[in-house]
This record gives sequence, structure tokens and C-alpha cells, in this order.
Amino acid sequence: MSSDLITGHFRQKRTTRSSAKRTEPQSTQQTAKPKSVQLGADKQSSSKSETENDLDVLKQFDLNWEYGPCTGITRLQRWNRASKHDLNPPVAVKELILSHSDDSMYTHCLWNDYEL
Amino acid sequence: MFCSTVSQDAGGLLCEPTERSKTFKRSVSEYTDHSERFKLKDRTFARQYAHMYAERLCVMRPKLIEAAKKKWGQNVRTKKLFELKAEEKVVVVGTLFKHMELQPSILKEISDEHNLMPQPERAKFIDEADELILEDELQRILLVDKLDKRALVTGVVVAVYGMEPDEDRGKFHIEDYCFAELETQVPVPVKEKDRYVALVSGLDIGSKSENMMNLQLLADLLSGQLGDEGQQEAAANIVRVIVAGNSLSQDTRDKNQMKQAKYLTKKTTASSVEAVKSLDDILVQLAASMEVDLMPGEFDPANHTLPQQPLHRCMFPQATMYPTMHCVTNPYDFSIDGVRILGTSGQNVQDIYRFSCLEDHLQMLENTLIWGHIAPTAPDTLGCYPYYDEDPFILPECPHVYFAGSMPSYQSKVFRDSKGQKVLLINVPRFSQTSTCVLVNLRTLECQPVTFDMSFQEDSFEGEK
Repeated sequence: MSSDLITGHFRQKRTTRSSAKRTEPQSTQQTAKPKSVQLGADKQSSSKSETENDLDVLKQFDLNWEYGPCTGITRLQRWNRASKHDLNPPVAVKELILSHSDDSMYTHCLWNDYEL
Repeated sequence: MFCSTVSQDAGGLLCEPTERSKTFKRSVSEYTDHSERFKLKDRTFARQYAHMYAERLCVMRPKLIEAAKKKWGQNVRTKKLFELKAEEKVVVVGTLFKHMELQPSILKEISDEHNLMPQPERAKFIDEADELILEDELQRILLVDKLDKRALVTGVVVAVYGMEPDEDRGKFHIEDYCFAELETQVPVPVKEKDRYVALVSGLDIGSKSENMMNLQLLADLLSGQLGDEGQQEAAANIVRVIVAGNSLSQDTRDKNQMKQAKYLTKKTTASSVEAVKSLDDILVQLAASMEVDLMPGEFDPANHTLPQQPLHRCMFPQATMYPTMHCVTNPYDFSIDGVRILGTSGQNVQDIYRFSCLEDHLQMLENTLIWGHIAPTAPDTLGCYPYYDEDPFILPECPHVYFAGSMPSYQSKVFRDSKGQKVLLINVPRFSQTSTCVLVNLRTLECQPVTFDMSFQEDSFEGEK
């Protein structure tokens, strides 16, 4: 039966990602005390979730209609344009972009890979 | 006026040559350029035009809300389209989109399923079935009543007061509408002496029917070589000349020549080369004695999209030797002796002519002032650079003089807005057809046409009128 529904063909990625996010901080809390060997691995997983969080924040900034269209310009350009019009875009977003100024995942918008 | 300063002793030159003749010094005026926003810094075309429309709406929204509150009361509610409820009278601010069946669409042309023949050349693309749609940041809605859809064009930002009825959802019934008010004008400082600015346009050099004689008369008059001492003294008060576009003729853009392959055209020169040389000859005469501003036009060798960038100085080797020669952008915004002058080479008015029912070019120029935007049809039907963080065509300040070049005839009018501010509107005619230039008096803010005519008849020699 599930193969007839579209959900049978396309796996819902959302649940796996959000559950991964939920489980990861829990796992870091649980394994906070333990052996030092595991700490390195946990740090990686926590920083991974931080990256995902950051990218999610940037994605929400892209999708916010108040700041105008997001395609074709860098996020920093869009942020500057929004602040010029006194729309008060969150400063955290600008800091995120500037701290990763060499990574195009951060600087360019969500649909950067799609040509005009 | 200009000619009334002709001195009493007309005919003073009809005397024996003397050792010393009278010389007149040309007046000097303060000049400030405000066209920085039209100069392109980078040329990134990998962007869509949505940014421009978003910018336009974002900048004009506060102005429109202010105008709406003034017109319909401070308590009137402004809502976005997604917040609209049925049967509720509100003000909505948005950009107009005119859906025209006859608008040339490249998609329709290349679509196989339509099997369309190429459309015949039309002067106007309006139709009875056109519809006006209001778009804001997120939604669009059809507009009915009140707004004259034939006189409006795409890209105008408007505030409409009305409601969406319950039985007719998807349509907004308008009771009233308004446009943004013009900014407060900077008052013009009072002057004692008359100073003039000459506006000329549509020289059309290089055409089969070019009129170099009248052009030479114009150059002679402006440089003070025409007329007796009284007229020379009057000409010394003309401080600046602005050539408002179309200095080269449409004929220099030979379609056959442009489409030919490069290897075939190696030995031939473009007809625009000869035309530019002639233009340089005229400009050097003008630049040697006064300030000259040259604006590019529709048929000049400049970029097609607005804002057109200044013509390159290498095209005018003789004229650019003088520091008085300036190549400027189209549109051109500057102030001289405190008088703010803004003008274009006419492409904006021509485009409005094509997509609205209006026939009077001066009325169209006035409409762009009322709408608060120099070229509302850009980028829809008028080529435009894809800006993303500004719309330079929004009127920043209310000008004192507003002109458009390459118009079919000379027209002028004083426009008064709701605050009582006066703007002098001028349609500068094509010099090749009318041999008329326009002189604007900076002290009184009036203008007059000056027509040159030559007819070699047995009885009289008609000089300037």
C-alpha cells in the first residue's frame, strides 16, 4: 500500500534530520562525563549540528519575504540592503556570513546552484 | 525674453572696420552634478529584475502611505494584500501591472504551438481587453473601477482605497486612488541677471536628410558669431548647452551592416564613423566657447539599456580637448545656479506612448512626474540595468525644470503640484525636423523656442526668428 502513495517513493527527509538534531544534543549531554576518547567524536557531532543550525538560520533569512528577493545576490548584499531600508535584519546573520566568508554555502543564497 | 535684449543700435556692425571691436564675456554659472546614481559601477547581468521592483515598492511605500493618509484621513488602514478581508475598506499600496494581449512577447513568438506570424509594426500596443493588476510583495489582485487603465502603464506604484467584495473575490473595487507626492523643492535663489540654458535634441547627423546648415546656424548663435552686437551680448548669457540625445541619426544604424559577418565588413566603415566626425566638428565649435553636455540617445553609439552611460571621449578627439566638453548619462540630473534640472533623451516618454492611449507627449511627461518615477515601464518594456539595491529612476527631489528630448514638437507647460510647487516641463523637439532649440531662462524659469530657417529666395534672407 505504501508504494502507491508518494511517501512510499520519496522518503521524508525531514523526520530523519530533525530526529538527528534532537538526538545529537541529547547524546552529547549523556556522554558529557565519560571517557576522553569519545569526547573528540562528540565535539565533531556537536559542531556538525551547529553548522546545520547556522545554515538553517541563514535559510530562514533567505526565505523571509520582508527582506525582498534572495536569488541572484549574495546574502551579505541582501543583508546590507535590508539594513539600509531599516528592516533590522538580525546581526547574528551578518556575523555568521562574515565568519565564513570563503564558504559559498554561507555567503550565497539557498538557490545558488540553480542557474538563472 | 532672449531677443528683446537686442540693442538699440541694430546694424552696428554695418560700419567701417575698427581696430577694437566689442567683446562680450560669457557668464559663468555654478554647476553641480547629481547624476552619480546613473553611472554604473559594476556590470553584473546575472540577476533578475524582481529586485528592482521590490526596491521600487519598498522605497515608495512610505511616501504613498503618507499621501494616502493626507488624502483619506490619518485613521485610514493600510493593509497588505494577504491581510485583506472581504468587504473591508482599506488602502493597499502596490505596483501596477497592465496585462496587455498585444504586448510583444518573445515567448509567444518562439512558441510553436501558437503558430504566430511575426506581429506587424504597431505604434501602440493597447487593447480594450487590457487589465490592471495590483501587485505587492506577495500577492496580486485584479483592479476594477475608477482607474483609467488606458492611461496607466506597468510599473507605476499607486495607493488604492477600496475593498474586495465578498461575491467578487479576486477583484478589488476601487473607490479612490492616489500617487506619491513630490518632495519639497529647494527654493531657487533670486538672481539679478538673465542666464540661459540651451536645450537641443535630435540632431540626427548622418541621415539622408540631414540639415547641417541649420545646425551651423545654431552653433554660430550659441558661440556668439551670429547677429550684431546686441544679439552677441544676449548670446553671452547662454551659459550651457545640453544636447539631449539622438545626435546620430537612425540611418547610421544600418540593420544590414550590423547583421553582416565581421569578415565581410572589414573594408567598409560604419556610417556612424562619418557621422561622429561631423558631430565632433560641431561640438568643438560649441565647446570652444561654452559648457557642453552631451547625452546619449536611442540611436547613439551607447548602451541600449537605461541608464545609458556617457559616450566615450575617444569619439570626439577635438571636442574633448576642451575642459568644457562633458559626456553625461541619460537620464541627466544636475543643478545650475541653484536650479535643479532633470531630463532624459525621450525613451521613457516614447515607451509610455507605445503602451498607453495618451497622445500628448507633454501629458506623458507630466504623468511621470505625478507618478514619481522617471521611467515606470523599465524594466518591463524599456531596457534597464538589473539593479538590486536601488532604483535610480525614482525622483529623489522635485526638479525645477524637467525635459525630454527627441519629441515630435516643442511643447512646454508649468506644472503645479498639490503643494503649489512649480515645475517647468519641456518637450525638446527633434532638431532635424523642426530646426528648433529651446532656451530656458534660469531667472524667471520660462522657456522659449528658437527656430532656424534658411530659404534662398530672391527677396529676403531669413535669419533666426
